[in-house]
Amino acid sequence: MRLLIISLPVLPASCNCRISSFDSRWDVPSSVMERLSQPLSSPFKSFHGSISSVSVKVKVPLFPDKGTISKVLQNDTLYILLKSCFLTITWVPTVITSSTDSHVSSTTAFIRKHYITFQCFPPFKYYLHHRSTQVYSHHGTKMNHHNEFQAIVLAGGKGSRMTELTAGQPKCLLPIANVPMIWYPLQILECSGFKEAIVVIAEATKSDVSASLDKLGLKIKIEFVGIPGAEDLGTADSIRLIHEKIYTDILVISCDLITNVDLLEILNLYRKHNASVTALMLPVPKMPDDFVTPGLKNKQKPETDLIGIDNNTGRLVFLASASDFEETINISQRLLRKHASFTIHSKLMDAHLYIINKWVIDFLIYNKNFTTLKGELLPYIVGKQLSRPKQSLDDKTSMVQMDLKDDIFHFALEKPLDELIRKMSAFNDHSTDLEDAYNGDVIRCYAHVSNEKFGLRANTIQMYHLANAKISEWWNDDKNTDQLPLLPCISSTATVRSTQMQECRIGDNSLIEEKTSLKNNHIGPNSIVESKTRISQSVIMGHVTIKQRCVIHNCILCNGCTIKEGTELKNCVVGAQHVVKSGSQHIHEVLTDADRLIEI
Amino acid sequence: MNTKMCKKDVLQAVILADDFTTSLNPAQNIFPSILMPVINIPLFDYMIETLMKSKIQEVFLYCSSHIDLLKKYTKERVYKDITISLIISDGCRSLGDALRDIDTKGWIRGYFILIRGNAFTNTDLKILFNVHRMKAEKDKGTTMTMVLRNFGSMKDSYLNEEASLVVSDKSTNKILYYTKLKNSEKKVKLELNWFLDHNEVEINSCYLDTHIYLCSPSVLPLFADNFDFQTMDDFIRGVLMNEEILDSRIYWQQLNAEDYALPITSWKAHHILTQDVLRRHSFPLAPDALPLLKNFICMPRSTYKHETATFAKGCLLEKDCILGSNSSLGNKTKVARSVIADNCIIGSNVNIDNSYVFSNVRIKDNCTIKSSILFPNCIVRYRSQIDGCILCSGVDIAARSQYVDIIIESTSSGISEIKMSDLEADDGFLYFKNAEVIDCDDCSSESSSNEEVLECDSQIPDDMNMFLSEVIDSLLRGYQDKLNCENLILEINSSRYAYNVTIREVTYNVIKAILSLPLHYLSETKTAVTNQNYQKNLKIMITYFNTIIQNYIKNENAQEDCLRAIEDVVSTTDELLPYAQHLLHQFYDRDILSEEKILEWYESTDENADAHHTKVKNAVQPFIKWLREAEEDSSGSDN
Repeated sequence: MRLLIISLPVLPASCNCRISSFDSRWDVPSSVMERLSQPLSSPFKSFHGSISSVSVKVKVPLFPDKGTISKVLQNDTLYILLKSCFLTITWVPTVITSSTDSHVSSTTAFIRKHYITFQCFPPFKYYLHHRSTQVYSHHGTKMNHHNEFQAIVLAGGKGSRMTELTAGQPKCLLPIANVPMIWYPLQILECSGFKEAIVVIAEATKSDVSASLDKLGLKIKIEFVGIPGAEDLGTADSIRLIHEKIYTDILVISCDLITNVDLLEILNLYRKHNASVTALMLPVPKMPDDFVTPGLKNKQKPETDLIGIDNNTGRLVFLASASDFEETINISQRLLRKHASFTIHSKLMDAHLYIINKWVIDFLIYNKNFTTLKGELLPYIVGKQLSRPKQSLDDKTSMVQMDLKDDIFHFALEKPLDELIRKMSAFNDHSTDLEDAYNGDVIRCYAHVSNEKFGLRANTIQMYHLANAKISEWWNDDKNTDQLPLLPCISSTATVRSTQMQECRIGDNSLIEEKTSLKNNHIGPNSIVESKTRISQSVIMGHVTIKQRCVIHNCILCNGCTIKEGTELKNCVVGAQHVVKSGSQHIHEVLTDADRLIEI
Repeated sequence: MNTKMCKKDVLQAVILADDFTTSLNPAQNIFPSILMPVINIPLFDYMIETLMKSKIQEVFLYCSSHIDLLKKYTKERVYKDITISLIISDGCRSLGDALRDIDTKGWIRGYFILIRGNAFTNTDLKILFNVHRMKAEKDKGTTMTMVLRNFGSMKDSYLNEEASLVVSDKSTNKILYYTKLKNSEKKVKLELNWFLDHNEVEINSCYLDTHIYLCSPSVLPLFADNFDFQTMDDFIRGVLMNEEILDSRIYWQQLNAEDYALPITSWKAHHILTQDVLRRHSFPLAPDALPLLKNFICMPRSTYKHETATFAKGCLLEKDCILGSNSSLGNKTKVARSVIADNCIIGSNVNIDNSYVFSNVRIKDNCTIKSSILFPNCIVRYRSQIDGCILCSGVDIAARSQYVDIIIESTSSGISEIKMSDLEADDGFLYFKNAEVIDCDDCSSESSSNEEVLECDSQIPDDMNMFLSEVIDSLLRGYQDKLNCENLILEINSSRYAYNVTIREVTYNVIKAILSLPLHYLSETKTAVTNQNYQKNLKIMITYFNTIIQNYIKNENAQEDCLRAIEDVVSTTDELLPYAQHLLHQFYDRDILSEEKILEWYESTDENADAHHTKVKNAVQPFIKWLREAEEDSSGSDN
């Protein structure tokens, strides 16, 4: 005999709430169904019936006061309380009046013709998107609507891991398949239904970026915020810079993230657990065996993230960089006891895509010691999951209050309704101890691990080159994503006279002379390739001139560089505006004007 | 080893009759662990039942103590389809010795299942064993597979102490590290290479060693080659440390989620096991299902009674208990969460709770037995009270006696008593009565401990402390260079804005800084810190900084802050403690602190007042007394 208890809030009599269907796991007899589908208004207090071996009991607890409903609506958030979660409820509110409740407001809010279906597992808060709701005040003016999430693209980075390439232009404009890198994160946001995004960018490059994005036909509305001066702000500093624009939970994405993951999955993970931070973890891209990184040969050890994820709950419980440790890692007993089974991944990387709760932003703004999200804030918050708020020993002594102000728990407060829901709900995310759901933690970090989709961060030459080499293959494999930008493979304004060309993209106004052989290249706009030249597996940015009889293999040629006659380049990087002398041969070299590098 | 040969081999299991521990004191003196009774029958019978079900044909029982008892026991029983051979070796003292002995005797040459004497399980060992064999075919270095039971979080469980840490490669279940989690250790050190060498490393603390090991032929030679392997833990640690040299790997397998296993490693574990068997978690090893536990009548709330057991009027089996054959309960006797074995006679008005009463025990009227274990043939006489005790065989407890937390043995001269608290320290003796779970680090220590949760945590300096240290710096410099106090006030105020400190905090910290300044000054001038030095300097400093103090303490709130600062500093600085009353007096004389405020502070009873604060208040008592007297005088003169 199992007991299913369903508790529903009392909604005002005027709102017509009924249970329309049960989850198919419960074989509900029609008589019970009929009784349950009566409007759940005041006379209906409790119901007993049996569903085969399952007994159903519907309890209707009273809300503390009527005002609650209107409060909920004011926050544009709808809460539903369910003791057990095997129900699908269709809620058909018609008119909700809150005029009696003077201190809330005297407005009368209407929700018109509005149907919401809740899949109530787990029974946490569900937001109403403003797209589907029409809430009017009695003045008839539209109330101020909020989005559920704000998207922020961080593009102010200087690309310090690949200065050879970023000497000539901002990192976010480096082309990948002839499209500026920043297009990729913006494109995912657009696909996931974001209408607006804030792009944080160095003030000096604002106009360039804005101009090049205009050409790409993105529908998403972009607001540029410039970082003044030549400051190299950390990621957390960038968020702090625009904090006045942040009014809700945010999604932070880095401009170098090239991926085709479905953001909705991550957003849903965040929503499901009302998380503090949700991060995307991607498998470290596998290098093809024949892949050679252009530039100097150096055994650059890739950074390894150690990412601990709870096996049962998906909680992110440990986050550190392997370079932080020498030989041993100390793991606290508390962590081991609390998360009895977790896995530490060393072949995953933090993709620098976070969904961050508003209170974390408030904390970040208050606490100015954090400069980066990935390196400082996130490990700190992940670690704080294990702590409990300090007991406020004595409110009278202001010393303690000061302590609390610094404390993260001063910010991580559970909203009263969330707390009520948590207490009333039978939901628990783990089953092996007697703790509350989420072990009673207010701070909860989650990781979404995406194994099928591709993704990398083009923040080193190696990754940048890999992205260029593989992007077409990846993008075309995935049927769900749109084709690469509207730009055709070969621009209509380009002049191609070559007959031997395979798998190449040619940008606007470029000129490819005859008797050239091109294989697996991306050639940017306004470039000239003269005859008798062979180019393979290379990235050629804009305004590059390659004279006759050159052989270029596996190279990156930056903006405006010139390769004189008869040059042979293999595995090289040629810096912006550099002129390579005729007849020279280079293997595994970085060719730049020396003073340019010093400048950086 | 030729695999074809292996398949023809019969399935062999080795049971070590002893577990070579004293954690079940004093049971090891009475019977080997394999004969430990669970409900009414020894562990051995449960294990044989499981082995027969798993179609194990040959069992070796390695006997090292109580050999006669074991011989007698195995002779009495007749088993079909299974041969039990005894390996007798008197005086073997460890698991390592036992396995080395088996190796020299050469009884076992192939794969085998090793079962320690305190294991209990109902799972099909053959399935587990076949998995091990498959693994061994793939990886020739497979030495052993541990069978682990997922117990979930052991945080709130009686088995908290049993929790072990298993670090393993997720894809293969190869064990990288295995250790018991000790509550005393705040941190566990793991090697970075484990994580870098494997893509996914699982860290589990939810698994319990079932004391069943699936062994390859290489296990015995490994024991023979390494004389220092005494216990299974030694073996695992040794093999893991020298994995490459020995070319041996240890894997683990999870026990099927529906199956049950629990080794009796302590009385707590015994208690849990008995309760679980009564609640039929270990079905078919449960009363009325197991052939040896037939003829029991199953009653509500997991209570059982043998057909031949008798109840008198008004007696009550509350829950989770069992009454063996030919036992009887007297009038109004209550039993809860207990086992009463065969042929016991319990008198009237007896309360038995959480206890184990073995066979042929007599308990007279009006006794109370709580959380105790009574070995066979004990007699507890009229109106005795026993709580948390172990009574060895044949103990006779006099009427009206009371025992708490004691192990009682009968000797030729009478009764000898051993206090449990004496045992617990060294032997890891755990009795189920003391089941309050000790959290590894309680809430109190949490705030401090979690700062180091991650080594890479960036320390965030506390603004408040920064402010305090800045004030101390300013004052110290001001004092040494004889700067004007007005300038120092300006300096303090500017730091105040820099750190965003409220005015009340400023007062508090300035007073705190002044009071602790002598310490800083003395250490700066390299003078020994003595009470005299401290007090002398403090006196000079208070005079010197009088302007500053007066500047910040202008109202009643500020006075409160000042008192609070005094209290905090005095309670942490021993040098200041004897001087505290003079300090207050000095402040009073200078009109910094008013009489009312001092008295108000003194009388305020802080709920959280700890020893320190009462210490402070005691120290200033003479001054308060003087103050009160003066007050009375003045009020008297007013009249």
